[in-house]
Amino acid sequence: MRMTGADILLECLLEQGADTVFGYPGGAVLNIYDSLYKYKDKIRHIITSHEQHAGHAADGYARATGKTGVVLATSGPGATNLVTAIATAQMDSIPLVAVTGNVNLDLLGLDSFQEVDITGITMPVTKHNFLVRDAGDLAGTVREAFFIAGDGRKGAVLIDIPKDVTAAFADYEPAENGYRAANALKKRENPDLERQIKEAAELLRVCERPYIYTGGGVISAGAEKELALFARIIDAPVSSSLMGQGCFDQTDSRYIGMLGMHGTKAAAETVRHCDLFVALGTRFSDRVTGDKTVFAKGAKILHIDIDEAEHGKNVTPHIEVRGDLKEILARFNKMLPRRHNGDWNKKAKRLHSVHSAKQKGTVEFPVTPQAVITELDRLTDGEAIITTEVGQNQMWAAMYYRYKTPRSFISSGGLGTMGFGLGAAIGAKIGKPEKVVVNIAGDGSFGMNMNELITLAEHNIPVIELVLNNSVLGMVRQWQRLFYGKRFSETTLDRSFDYMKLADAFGIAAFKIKREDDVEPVLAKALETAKNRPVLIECEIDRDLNVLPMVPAGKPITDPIMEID
Amino acid sequence: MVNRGFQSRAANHAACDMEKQTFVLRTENRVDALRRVAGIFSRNGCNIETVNARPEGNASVMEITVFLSGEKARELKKALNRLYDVISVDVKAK
Repeated sequence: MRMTGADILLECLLEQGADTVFGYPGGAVLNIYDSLYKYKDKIRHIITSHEQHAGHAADGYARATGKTGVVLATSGPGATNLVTAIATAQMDSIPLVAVTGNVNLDLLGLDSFQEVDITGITMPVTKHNFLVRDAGDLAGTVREAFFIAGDGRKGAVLIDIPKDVTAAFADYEPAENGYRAANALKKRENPDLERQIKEAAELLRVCERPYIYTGGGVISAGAEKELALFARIIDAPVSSSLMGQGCFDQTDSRYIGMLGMHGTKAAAETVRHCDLFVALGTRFSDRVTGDKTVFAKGAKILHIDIDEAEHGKNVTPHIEVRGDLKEILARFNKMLPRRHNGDWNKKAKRLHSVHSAKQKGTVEFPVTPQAVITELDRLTDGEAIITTEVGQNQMWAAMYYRYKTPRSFISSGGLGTMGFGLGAAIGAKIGKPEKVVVNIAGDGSFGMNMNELITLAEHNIPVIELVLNNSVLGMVRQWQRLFYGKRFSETTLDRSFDYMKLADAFGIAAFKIKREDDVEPVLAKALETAKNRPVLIECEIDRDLNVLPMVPAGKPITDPIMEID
Repeated sequence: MVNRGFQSRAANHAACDMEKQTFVLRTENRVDALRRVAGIFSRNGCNIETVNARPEGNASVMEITVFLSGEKARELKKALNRLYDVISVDVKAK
């Protein structure tokens, strides 16, 4: 079948089950948008206010659904605007395919209007990328890109397509089976797997105080059921990284909280006392290990991950197992005897109850984020999808909402992208319309992406934007308080615009939380309203609230700061 | 429990300060392959001293030989192998 490159691109997206595209038009993608006009019954396109947030939306869509997200942008500034979104997805191993237009082939390399070398620019922040120079290569490239994005450790892939390639005709044949790259699959084979599993099983048998630490890899692998059973079989306390939130039911009695810079004291103390640290689908980020030389010093470390480059990158394990987490845990669940570590679990649990933090409001700002998020958790029965921005809002969202299922906590963990959350919420709601979606934001992040309220209103995407407004860049301020002699350089925003009027201007329902008595009724009303239209909630909080516990960067995680004057 | 081989990367650097290495890579013969490989070295502060890239046999595969010195050189094998275009990586210490 003879088709234009643009049509071939869309046919290939449909082959991959990609029926939703986030993006923004421009000159170099005119042919693609012209085809989208023809395919609008088959492919839904969501236009945002800015390409970056289209990228975050595709990312949020991927995180919420498990499918590969697709974002489309034009050449030059359209493409560079995507860079932060691509890097955000790649750092968190989220499957994303970004398609950019470029100038005609004969204009490439000549500093032409709206030309950038986007494959060069994104090389360090993608898993792989392509510049397609021939329409005949387009179908194969799109299939290959989807394969790479979703294979093994998932990630971001960019396809750059010059405008004349989208206009040129080429033969297109629907693919019977998806693309499978022999080389990549061969590299993923693990000839040592049986030996590794045997050695790991032995460690799991002889240990006395096992500890399970879960990362985002559990969610990527879809291994939550196997994990739940594994935790019961080896009878161990469970903690999660920021990216792992929700892979283990946080209302389960074995769950002892997040581990890391703002993890629970119980999670950190339990690491100190365990004799086997079982790390599942995680990369030992510096935000988790703190001082690596003393991290889990008394324990043996068993690290199970699909990416061989993570074994020994940050922490050197005693035993590494490389492969698919779902399969490996299922193997352990079959071969290991059920055991009982009553005293050990009781100790972990006791630590958890002793050190649970309680925030206090002030006379002027009595409402605390803890009270708001805990109430949100109660009203939504822990079933909502929570997206976050980055900073204090993100940490409070991770700490006080109890995630019960994977893909319910969506946050930029690796890159730490302020401005991520609202776009991600849009994508999550498009992907999971039946879910309540709440973006927990700060006023700083809100300033970075409030233009996407237009997108909420235009497409009537019933997301709740919950702004915890402390009029400062709270997390940076917290560091300035602790480490820079309270010199609050440029972190006091005090932007005195009216959130209610702003929301009204966009045609978005708006509510304000000011007193403790407001929390329950306002959240309930917002949740009711958000059944069919977007909502903004402004919640004023004190600017001197801190995220606690806190382990200063590079310090031992067992020694968190529990209070700040 | 004592000898657990736990070492931070920082400790590793000190142990192999400015080592000399030869990497022999086989990659897909695509325009960007050399640039991707070079990117891994530059990101990790390794200065390439000589590099040779030539197509192999049927020209679908390229062999890249890199001679370099750098603090992190020894740790880069896995990072190089993770590149999609890379088929195999061999490291030869000088």
